[in-house]
This record gives sequence, C-alpha cells and structure tokens, in this order.
Amino acid sequence: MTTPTLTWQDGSPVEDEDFHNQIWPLLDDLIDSDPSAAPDVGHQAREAALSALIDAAFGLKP
Amino acid sequence: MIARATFRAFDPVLDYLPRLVPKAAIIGADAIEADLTDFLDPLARPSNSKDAAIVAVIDYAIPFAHPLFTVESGHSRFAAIWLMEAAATETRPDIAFGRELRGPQIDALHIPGDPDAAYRSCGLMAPDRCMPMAHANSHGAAVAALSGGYLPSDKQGRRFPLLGVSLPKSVIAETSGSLSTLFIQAAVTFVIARARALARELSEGAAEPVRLPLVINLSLGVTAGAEDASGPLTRLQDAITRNGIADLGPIHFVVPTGNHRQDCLRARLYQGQRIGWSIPPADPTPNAIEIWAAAGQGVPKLAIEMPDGARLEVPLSASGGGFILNDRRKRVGRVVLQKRGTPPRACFTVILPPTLPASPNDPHAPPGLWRLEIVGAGDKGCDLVIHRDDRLPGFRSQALQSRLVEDGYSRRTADGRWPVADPKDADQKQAPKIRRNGTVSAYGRGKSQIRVGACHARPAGGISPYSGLLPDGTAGDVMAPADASLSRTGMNLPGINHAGRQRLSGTSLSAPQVTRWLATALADRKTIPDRKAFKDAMEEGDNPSLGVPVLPWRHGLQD
Repeated sequence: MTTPTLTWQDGSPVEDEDFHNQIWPLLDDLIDSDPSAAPDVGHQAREAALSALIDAAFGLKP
Repeated sequence: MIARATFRAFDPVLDYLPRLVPKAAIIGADAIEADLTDFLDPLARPSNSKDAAIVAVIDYAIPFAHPLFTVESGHSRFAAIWLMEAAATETRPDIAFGRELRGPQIDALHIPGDPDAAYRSCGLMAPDRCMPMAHANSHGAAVAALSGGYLPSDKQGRRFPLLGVSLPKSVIAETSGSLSTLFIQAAVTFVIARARALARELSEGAAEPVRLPLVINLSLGVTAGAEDASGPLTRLQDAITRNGIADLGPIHFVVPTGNHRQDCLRARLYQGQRIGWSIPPADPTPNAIEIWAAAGQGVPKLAIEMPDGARLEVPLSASGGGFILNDRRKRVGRVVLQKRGTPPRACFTVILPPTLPASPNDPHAPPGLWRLEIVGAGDKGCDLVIHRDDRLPGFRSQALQSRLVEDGYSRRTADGRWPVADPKDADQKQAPKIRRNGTVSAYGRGKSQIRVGACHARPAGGISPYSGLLPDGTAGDVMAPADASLSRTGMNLPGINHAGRQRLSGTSLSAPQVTRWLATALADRKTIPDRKAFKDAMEEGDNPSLGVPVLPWRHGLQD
C-alpha cells in the first residue's frame, strides 16, 4: 500500500521537507525558549522517570 | 510505541517544565525516597474485588481529602494520586515532578478538625506560589465527586477504588491544548501503571488474579486537531481500550463532547469563498485557525485580509513555515503547513500574535474583522477550525476567544431557539459556512472513547445549547443532564471545602455521570468491551440520555 502524495494546486508534488515538522505549531508561540539559557539539569532525570512510568504501565513485568 | 514517540515530540515542553509548574514541584537534591506503601488501607479495599471497578479522574485541583472519597472508618479510597503541582518532597523512580500520594499517606495527613491540612502539607495552599486548593471550589472537585464520590457510610463506595491526577494550572489555563498533551499522556500512563499495581495488590491472597475494570474520566477538551483518530492522545487511548492491559479488565475512556457548538469556531469553505475571522482586542494570547484540505486533495491556497482591508500574501518559505507581512514588511502573523492524519491531509495553521503584546516591541496583530479566502482548493473544499483560546472560570488568564463571522449566519433560529445539527444539505456549496456538526472536542475523535454530551433534566433529553456535536450531528454516544432546564442552567456539586457547594454547567459534568454509570455496570460484571457495546446498552434513538442521576447530595437538577 502506498501513501498518497500531497500536491500543490498546480499538481506538483509537495516534498516532505516542505512541511513543518513540529506536531504542535503553536508551541513556538507559547514557549518562550531562550537558546542562550543554561540547559536544565533536571531534563534527563525527568525523561528517565517518564520512561520508567511507561515501563510500569505497558511493560510486561512492571 | 505511541507513548514514547509523543514524549519525544514534546521534548521542548519537558525542557520548559520549570516554568510550567511551581518551583517546589521540581525534584531537587533534598527530596527523600518515598517509602513503599500499600495503595489502600485494608479497611478501604473492596470487600469483594470481583465486584469492584477502578475509577480514575484526570483533572485540576482534585480535593483528594474530601469525605466523599473516604470510607466509614475515615480511610481514603484514593489508592494513588499524582499531584503535579505539589512540593516534590519525596521521590519515586517514575514520578518526574510533583508528588504521588498513596491512600495510607493521605490517611496520615488527616488532622481532625483541619480539613485543609493535607493540602497545606503538600504545598498546594502556599501563598504566592501554588494555590490550587486555596479556593472554595474547583472543576476537579465537581468532576471527581460525580465520577466516584460516595458518602463514607455508603458501602457502595468501597467497590470503587480511585486513582487521580491533578494537572498543573498553567497547562489547564492554556486552553488550545498545545501544552497539555504531554501532561495528559503522562497522566494516562500513570493511571494505567497504578491500576495494574493496585490490581496486583488486591489479588494477593486471592485464589486467582483479579482483573479489575478501569474507567478513566477526562473532562477536558480542545476544539482543533486531527479528526481521524490520528492525534497522539486519541491513538494512545484507542490502543489501550482495543488491546487491553495485562492485569486489568476492560478499560474505557470517557470524555465530554465539549461546550462549543454555538461558538462559531468551525466552518466549511469551497474555492473562492471567504469568511470573517473576528480577532478580539486586548487579547494577550495568540489566535490560531487550522485549515484542512480534504484527504487526497491539493494544498489549499489562501489569501488573508486585515481589518483595514489590506490583502496580504500567505507565503511559505522553507520547511513549511512563513510569515505574513504587512505593507511595512512587519510580521503580523505566521503560517505553518503540515501533513497530518491518515490518509494524509494538508493542514495550514494561521497564527496571529496577541492583540495585546507583553511589550510594544513584541509582535502584535491588529484586532478586528480579518477575512480568510480559499483562493485555491479541491472540489471537496476545506474545513476551518479555530483553536480554543478562552478563559476558564477561576483562572486569571485574560485569553479571549476569536470566532468566525459569516454574513447572514445567526446563532439562534428565527423563533429564538438554539439550533442543533446542521441542515441536511450542509455539504452543498451554497449552505451556511459555519458548522455545528463536528464541534465535538478533538479529544473525542478517537475510535473507542465514550463521548458524552450535555442535556437538560427537564424537559428530559433536550440538548443543552452549548453541547458539541459529533460529525453526524448527534450529541455524543450518550447525553447526561448538566442543566436543570434551559432557563435554570447547571447543577449543584461539591466544592473543595467539605460543606461547600458550587453550581456548574457543561459537558465536563455529563462525562463523569457516565463514568459513574459505567464503573457500576462493569463492577456488576456487565459485559461492555467497547463503544458499540456501550451504545447497545443505552436506550435507543439518535440522542440517548442517561437520565437524572442518583447522587449522594442534592444536585438541583429537579428543583
């Protein structure tokens, strides 16, 4: 089964790189990210905790 | 796996978390490891686990210490609650922020004569820092009481162990839902994890494992988003309900249809047609609208007109993004092109910055009547849907909802009534552009959730004016009364304070009535594996109603 190709109005195909790659386009307007800010040290720990939560919910041996 | 992919996609939000929850909710080095505790005191466990069902509530400001969630001995029926804004004074390996309380911990926080003690000790009544429980009422109090509140003296309550997640205020206040998916998905994952563990705890000593049914109430909603069950939350919920979870019986998600039927947030436009987009003044939040081409049809071509009549280009530069510039080459908006859904559809999102910027130098859009025109589109036209952007009662956000404006469209009929479904010929190009069909919350666009609309108690079954509609024009899989009548709206509900009452209206209150009904039916071992079986169990007709509920307080629906 093939995925249908989206086209512009003139019929030419829209390439994948022509699409925005973020699922939630409003995020850029809502999150005031500061690229110069120091990285948040707790980020990895939070990722690990969420990963552990997924294991507890959907893993074979919680 | 859906859950992991969504968490990865939301990495920027996870990084931004310290600005979305109180500082005290971030786990620091001084937090101690939580003790391993049971989920429920033996006196609060179901006397017979084979006729029990777990009820889970994902909401805001859930008063977990309220007597309606205790048994006669005073022990909590909450097996676990994740308080996402609570002070992170203890850690668990799978709690990323905030704090989880188990039933015996809630019992230990109880101080006779001091009903707020438990909330204060969790940092949920901290002046200037975190105040969700420092109010008389809350949405979570009403929803949780309707879902699983019983008088302590009522032995029925023990049949329904509770799980809860109290979401952060900042996430609830941002009503477009752009921030909330991460938190709701984490909440769903938490509920599944703890329900499994609770089922194992209740199975200890039993001859065979107890596979408890689970009903999850999610009385939250958004207006825009994927309509084909391809959104991350709906896909996750569908997968859980369809595939089941080890250790658990049937799992259902109950969601409201939303309250936006009359808000003019949805329209269908064909090539060459245009519609007004009213952008309110003094709005400190962005306004956004999604424009979806039909599946298999080309990317639509848009034109946009400012309130002063200036017609602007809607350009796309690299990677599906572009800025809308005014005649002085200043940015007055942004446009994003995405490929979404299955089969893929082209979706433009037009985003206008606030009309009340935080500072004069920040981007801002002029308020007034903008106009959108579909310059080019396939013969099936385009669906337009405005992102929710309103202010919730009790929240300080100043967000204002934009809406569509169509010449000749009236929100009431000529005889003053609120219209329900679109006319039968609504798919014709000459039909009104603004649509009421399909105004169901995007969270209810999955294939498995039970979608609940609101109705009046008297006359029985009259659809409440605000209640969102499924694409076929029905008011959900079932309705439940959230208003006494057209002229006496709302129903009486418990508040945060033990003796408090609040009168609220909306489909948020209809959904938990169905949660309560469904949990009882599953605990009674009725076979309801999916949405179809649920609908079969309802009365016949296009818009079945659950009828006036029996609740342990005077609900005021029949006064």
